[in-house]
Order: sequence, then structure tokens, then C-alpha cells
Amino acid sequence: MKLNIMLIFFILGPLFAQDDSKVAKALIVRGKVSYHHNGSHYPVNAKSWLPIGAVIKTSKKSFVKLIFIDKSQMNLGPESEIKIKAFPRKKAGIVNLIKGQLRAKVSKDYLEIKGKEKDKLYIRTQSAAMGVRGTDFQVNFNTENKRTSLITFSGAVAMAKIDQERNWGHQNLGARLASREVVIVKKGQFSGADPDRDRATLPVKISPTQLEILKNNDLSIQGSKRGKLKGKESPKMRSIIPPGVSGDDFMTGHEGIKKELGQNIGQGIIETVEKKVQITKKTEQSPPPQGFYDAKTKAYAPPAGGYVDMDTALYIPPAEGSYFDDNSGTYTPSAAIGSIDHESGDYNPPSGFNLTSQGEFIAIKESAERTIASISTKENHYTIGSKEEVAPVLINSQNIGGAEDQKLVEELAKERDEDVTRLAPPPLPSNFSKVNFRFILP
Amino acid sequence: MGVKKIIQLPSLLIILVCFISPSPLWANEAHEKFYKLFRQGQYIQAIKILDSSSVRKKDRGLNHYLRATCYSKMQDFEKAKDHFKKSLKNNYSPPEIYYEMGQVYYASNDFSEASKYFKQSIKANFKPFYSYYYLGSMEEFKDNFKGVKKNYLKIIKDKEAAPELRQAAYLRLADILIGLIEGKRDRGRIVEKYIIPLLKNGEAINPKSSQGRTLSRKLEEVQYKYNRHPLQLKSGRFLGKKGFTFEANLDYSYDTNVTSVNEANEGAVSGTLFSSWYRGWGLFASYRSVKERQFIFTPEIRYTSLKYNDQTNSEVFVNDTYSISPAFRMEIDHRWGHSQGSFLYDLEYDYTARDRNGLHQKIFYGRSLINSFGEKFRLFAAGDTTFKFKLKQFTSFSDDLSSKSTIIYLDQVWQRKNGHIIITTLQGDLVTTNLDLYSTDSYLMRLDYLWPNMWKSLTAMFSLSGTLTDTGEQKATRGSEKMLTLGLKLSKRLGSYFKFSLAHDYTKQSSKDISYEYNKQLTTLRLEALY
Repeated sequence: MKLNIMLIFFILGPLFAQDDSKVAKALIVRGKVSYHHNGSHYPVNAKSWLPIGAVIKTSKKSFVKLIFIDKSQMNLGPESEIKIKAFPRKKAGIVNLIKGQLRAKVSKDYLEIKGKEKDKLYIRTQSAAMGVRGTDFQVNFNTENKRTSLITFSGAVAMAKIDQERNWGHQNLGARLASREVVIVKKGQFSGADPDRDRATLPVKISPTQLEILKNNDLSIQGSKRGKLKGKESPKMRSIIPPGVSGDDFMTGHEGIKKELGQNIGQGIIETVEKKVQITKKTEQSPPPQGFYDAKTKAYAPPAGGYVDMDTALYIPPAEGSYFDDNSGTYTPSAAIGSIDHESGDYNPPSGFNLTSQGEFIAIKESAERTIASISTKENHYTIGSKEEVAPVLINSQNIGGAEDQKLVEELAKERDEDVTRLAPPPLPSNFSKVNFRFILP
Repeated sequence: MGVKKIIQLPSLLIILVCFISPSPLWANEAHEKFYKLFRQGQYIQAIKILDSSSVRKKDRGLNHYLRATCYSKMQDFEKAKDHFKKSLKNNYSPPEIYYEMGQVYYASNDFSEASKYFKQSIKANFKPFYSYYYLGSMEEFKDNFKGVKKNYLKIIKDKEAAPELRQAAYLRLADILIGLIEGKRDRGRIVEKYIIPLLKNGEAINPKSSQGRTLSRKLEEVQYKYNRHPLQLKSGRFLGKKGFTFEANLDYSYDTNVTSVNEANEGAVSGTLFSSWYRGWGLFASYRSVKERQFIFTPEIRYTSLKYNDQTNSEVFVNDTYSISPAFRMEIDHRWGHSQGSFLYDLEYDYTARDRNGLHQKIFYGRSLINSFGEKFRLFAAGDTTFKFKLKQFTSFSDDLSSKSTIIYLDQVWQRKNGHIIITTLQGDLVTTNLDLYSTDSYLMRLDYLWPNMWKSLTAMFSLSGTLTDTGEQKATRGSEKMLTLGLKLSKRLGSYFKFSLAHDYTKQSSKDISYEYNKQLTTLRLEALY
């Protein structure tokens, strides 16, 4: 512990001796990183100091790790851009993510620094404001679709959707993040904000595999290997669930393993672990894993277990062919909608397809099988085996009967008939109105 | 002393190494930790625990199996396969292993290996029906219909298989057959003989399950596409779902100028200048049956009753009425070239009793029988045209007032793209009474505009109608009478079974004889129960 404290002072000590306008220092730089400030451009090297107002930009396959005067640490991925808007000593810092991806780690101890506000750091994009109260998270922003995605690895981050027209200073950001529409994104959860939706999505768990890989990747792996698989053929996989069925019954569950391990180490021990796990799961407050939509409040949660695409900031929800994993409490997406790069945690679209920022899968070459080219990730409403929430994305639901239309038309026709009866003048036959017509549906 | 030091140094080093280097977890502890992480879905961490633990020889196979399961959950099928194989190699083969191996090979598109393991799983009686489903599914990918049929039939025929799985197998078989008949000449027959029964049988297992609903949708889709829908007539026209209809209504109205029929001059109506509330109620029931997907028969019966609140003024309460109106309607569906049409025949009877003597006693007032023939056809794409020719025989309590009428009726429906509906109606009613003096000819023009869901679920209907009455032998005194009516009705559904409406009408009649001129306003609140 002492050693750690000494180390921190050794590294950070000189920070405090610097000019007030210089608020962050580059610790690690890979590839081409630069910043501009007051109309001039400067290269960023390891140990470069960055002032308030600096716009830091990384090129392709580049990466920079920054440490701020309040000891928070930020990593900027490739093709990303941030602006250090404000970083006062006694107020929350404001960092604008202009594009790309940002990973920030702020230790809890540091958050206790006296004089700091409730939110210790604000991160803002064009579509979202985030108040950092917790420790480790990643934000992505795509300039084409204006979507922001946030994944929290530990602690909690407050997030609210914003529009880009206001002056988002301390006061406005504080007020926005104290509003009712704020969501608190906790460990292992994702939330997204985009211009089409009134508020940030309710936090849901992402794929546990992607979460774990991303957690161990400070963007440096992603930074150097980005683009490795994009546009190239990845191994062709199909959903482990055959077509035409719901996945849950096809999976074997954990009972077999529980029994085997119970025999090995004692049933009592396994039961104790099981109880602990159940208690932890019960205390987790999340929307239902199959997704949720409240028409009144517009609160929306996509189905849990999806992948986050780092480039587009899109959430790829588990769709047809997915199954519920009782262990993680999420749906395991079908391999047919893509996979996770096991080194970087990047989402890879299905073999032969690219994902556009508008959420469409485009065939890379004409010969590619277009089996799922019609997937839309514009998360209107999704449903995975649940009755209420959501309209399916992939299910072919043609309204062939038009029964509702038919009912309405008949009702209206009847209504009109009755009125004709009532309004018909006495000399006419009383049953003039009994016009028995029906509509023919196209 | 020196010797002691030499002996002590390695011991110290050993102790130091033991304390500093990370000690491998003992197998039991590792399995406990593994299970906790596994149950939390932290598969990478769970594998790491196994990798860093010491392995007893007897646990080697188990650990490979545990790793394989984690990799399978993470959809890393290549590694999963590798560890499953190692598990078998180490003689660890729990009952589910073949099924799970089949799954990972299936997901990797290695169908021959997958088939091998699924067959072993069937042999071991582990999830046999699910294994058959995988086998059937793989045969589908190979376009081997015989193989598909064989495997899916194993599920369908065995009632021990889960109901939803049986339904899924029915659906898959039907789907494949649908694909096979595309372009075939006798596809209608195959649909009727094989596909529809498959879908119906599948649905019947549990219509409310998710598969049951899918089967039901599919059934409708197929029936519609191949013109085999029970609600679809031969011409292609669709009927509403309901066969039986029951309705009850309760009205409360305010009439600013209660009109009454001049008994001395039937056919003429005059305003009394009295206003009154009145209440009415009615019942209606009908049942529609369809034969041969062409003949539609609808018997119906209606009862209505009306009573004025003002029971002191006989000019008002003479209008207290009840009527019973049974009817029988028939439609014969057919085609006009490429468009749909229906021949219409209606037989309508009406019995009306009224307090015509003002004695608070409703007595026989008149009865009518109408025979009408007509045709409904689609002249314009926007909506139906209906033409009817009616013959009416009216028997009054007074012979002089009994009449025969010839009625010609025409209406046209226009459904606009925004969902609004316009209906125009023309009707000519030529009435010949026993006493010629009372004979009249009336001509009506009417326009209705329906605006569904105008505001939230409120539906509005605007109407305008004009009637021109040729008073025949009374022309010298009454001239041609004109009536104009303007109406607005707002209605809203209250749940599935109730409807509430508010209507307001304004009527103005002009006549050469000032005693037959009047105008009135009528406001009605109505609550309806619909079934």
C-alpha cells in the first residue's frame, strides 16, 4: 500500500508543480497523436503536457494514455478526438468526446477529493452527457449516426441524452444529470443515446464475453489491431439453435455441471455457492432481460446480452436464434449476427457483411449469402420470447388478414347505417338504412 | 555455526519461494470458485481458475468438459470442440456431452460430425427429440426432404416429445412443403390435402403457445395465399371474423321540436314545437353462416323501444313506439371478370306498435315486408358500389294508409389513402297508398364522411343529406317539400365490449304549407354493448 502511494506521488508529483492551464499529461503514445490549441497544432509525445482547451486527436491505429491533474486516467482509441473543455481543481472536469472511443479509469479514492462535486468528471458527446461517479468505463461516439454508447466496467456512471444546441457548461450538465431521465449505468451494463430517441436507453447487461474482453483491454489492443477482420471473411458460423424454435429448451443448462461438481467437492458446498449466486442475482436491478418499453415514459431497454459495435456505437441486440443464458442473465446472440474478437473485444459483423452506421448489414461482395441482410439494429422494439414489449425485427410478420382494418371498417359502416336510420325522414321506409355493405380488402 | 548457516539457507529459500510464488489452487477450491464464476456468466475468469489450479488425474476429463462448456457458451466453438474431445479422451463422458458436441459441430457447419454425435445422444437417450430436430434441420440444409421428414416425424408422432417441439416440427415440415410446391400446377390440392392439415394439427396441440401462434399465423398466410381461407370467399373477398353478433344500446336524447305524423295525412310530418327528452333502448342479434365459400346467410332480429319523458302532452307521447324487425339476408359471392361481386337478397319484416291514440298504450301501428334484390360490385378501386331494388308492402292500422313502395337504392364507398371513408347514397322511394291522396315520391341524397381515430381513439362522422318529396295529389297545397339534415357524431370504444357516442343533428324541412315547415335539433347520448 505504502509502495503504491509512493509510486503515485512519484508519477503524479510533478503534475502539481505545473502551470494551472496544463491539466493532463500523455503517459503512453502509440502511432500518430496530435493536439491543437489556440489555432496551432502540436504533436503529442509521451510526457507531453496538454492545456485546457486542447483538442487531442489520434490517427488510425494510434492510441494515447493521459493522466489528469485529479489523477483520473483516460485512454483515447484510434481515430478519436477529445476536447478538454474545463478542468478546474475544485470542480468537475469536462471532457468532450468529439468522435471515437474513450476509456476512463478514475479510482474511487480519488473521487473523495474534497471540494469536488457529486459528479467528479463530465464526459459529453453530441448526444449524451455523462457524470462520472464511478471508476472504469468506456464511451464511444459515432459522428455519422450521432450515437453514444457507454459501457461501465466498475462503479457507476450517470448518463442522460442531450441535444447539441445548448451551452453545456457545469451548470447545465449538472442539472441535466440530476433530471428524471438520467440512467445510472452500473458494472457490466450498457446504455446508449441517439438523436432518434427521447432518452438514454435503460441500462442492460451486454454479452458477458465481450464485457470481459473489453474490460481487460484499455483500447491499446483494439488500437493496434483495429480493422484486422473488418471486411474480411471470418469463420462461418451458424446459430447453435436450429431455425424455427426458441433457444432455451435446446440448451442443457447448468444442472449437469452442478451435479458433477457436487459429487466431486460436496453437494453442500455447491448449494452454498448456488445460494450466494442467487442472492447476488436477486439484488441486481435491471430491466427484464427480454427488453422493455414503456410507451408513457418512453423508457426503453433493448434485450440484454447484445454486442456493442465500437465503430458505430450501435448495440446489436440478440435476435432470432439467440437463447437465454441463465448464468449471466442475458441472451446469447446467435453466431449468425456476428461474433466478438477474442483479443480486442471488437464486434465483428457476420461473415461477408459490414455493419453501417445506420444499422444495416451490407454484403461485402455480391456473391455473399444475404441471409440476414435485412437485420435492422434500429432498436424500435425487440422481443425475445416475451409477450408485451416489442415488435420483432427478424420475424416475418406480414399482416395478411388485415383483420383489424376489417373490423374498423365494418364498425364504421354499421355506425353510419344506424345514423342513416335515425336521420331518415319519416316518409322514407324505416329500414332504408340497412345497407349491408362490407369492405373488400386489397 | 557455518554448517548450520549452509543448511538453513536452502530451507529459507524454499519457504520464501513457497510464500512468494502464487500457489496453485487445490482442486476442490478451484471447482468451487469455477462454479461461482460459471453461474455468474464470467466464463473467461472461470476458465482462468481451471488453468491456474492443480489438476488431479481423475479431474482431467471433467476440467476439459468444464472448459468446453464455457467456450461453447462464449461461442468459441473451435476451442469447445477441442476440449470436448479431450474430455472424452480422458474417459469423461457425462450424459449430455454428445448432445453438446453435436451442437458445437452443428454451429460450426460440420454436419457429418454433428449427426454422429446427435445420433449418439439419441442412443444415450439424452434429449432425443431435440437431437432429432437438429438432424432434421441439417437434412433441410442438405435439401434432403426424405431425411427431413423422417426426423421430424419421429418428433411429431411421439407424444413424449415436448408439445412446443412437436409444434415446431409440424411447422418446419409445412414450411418445407410450401417451398417444394412453388410453381407446381396442383399446389392448391397439396396445400389443402397436406399443408393445411399439418398446420392445423400443429396448432391444435396448444394454440396459445408461441409456436401455436406462429402456426396460426402461418395457417392464415397459406390459406390466404392459396385462396383456402375459411373467411375468404371464392372470389377472393374476405369476411370479418365474427359469425355471431349481439348488441344492446341505451339512448338518451333531447329533441327540441318533437315531430309527429299527421294521422289525417299520412306521409306528412309536422313539428309540434314541444321539446322533450326521450330514452330508447334496443337489442340486436345476427348470425352469419357461410356455405361453399360462396353463399352467405345472415338471419337477424332487432327490437327497439322509445319513450318520451313528457308523458303529459299527448302530441309528444303519441310517438312512444316499439318495433320488432326480423330479417333474413343472403349474399351469393361471384366475380365480375377480375373483380369481386355479390348478389344480394334481403327479406325484411317490421312490426311497429305506437301509442297512436295518446292513451299511454302502444298498439298496432303498421307492419311492412320488404323484398330487395341487389348487387354489390367493385366499379372503382377505392370502394364498393351497391345497387338495390326493393319492393315494400306496408299494412297500416288504417286501410287508407296501407301502401306499396318501389325503392331504388345506390351507394358508393370511397376509402381514402389516409383511412378516411366517404359514402355517397342515392335513393328513390315511390309510395303508392290505398288512398291515392297520400301517395308520395321521395328522393334522397346523402353524403357521409368517416374519420377514424380523429383524436386518439375518437372517431368522427359528418353527414349531410337532402330529401325532396313530391307530394303528388297534395302538390297544390304542399308543393315539393325539401328536407336538409346536418349531423355530427363522435364515438369512442370503451374497451372491447362497449362504445360511447354523442351525436347532434340539425334538420330543416320546408313546405308550401307552412304547417309542415319545421326545424329541430336532436342530441343523443348512446352507450352500446357489443359482442
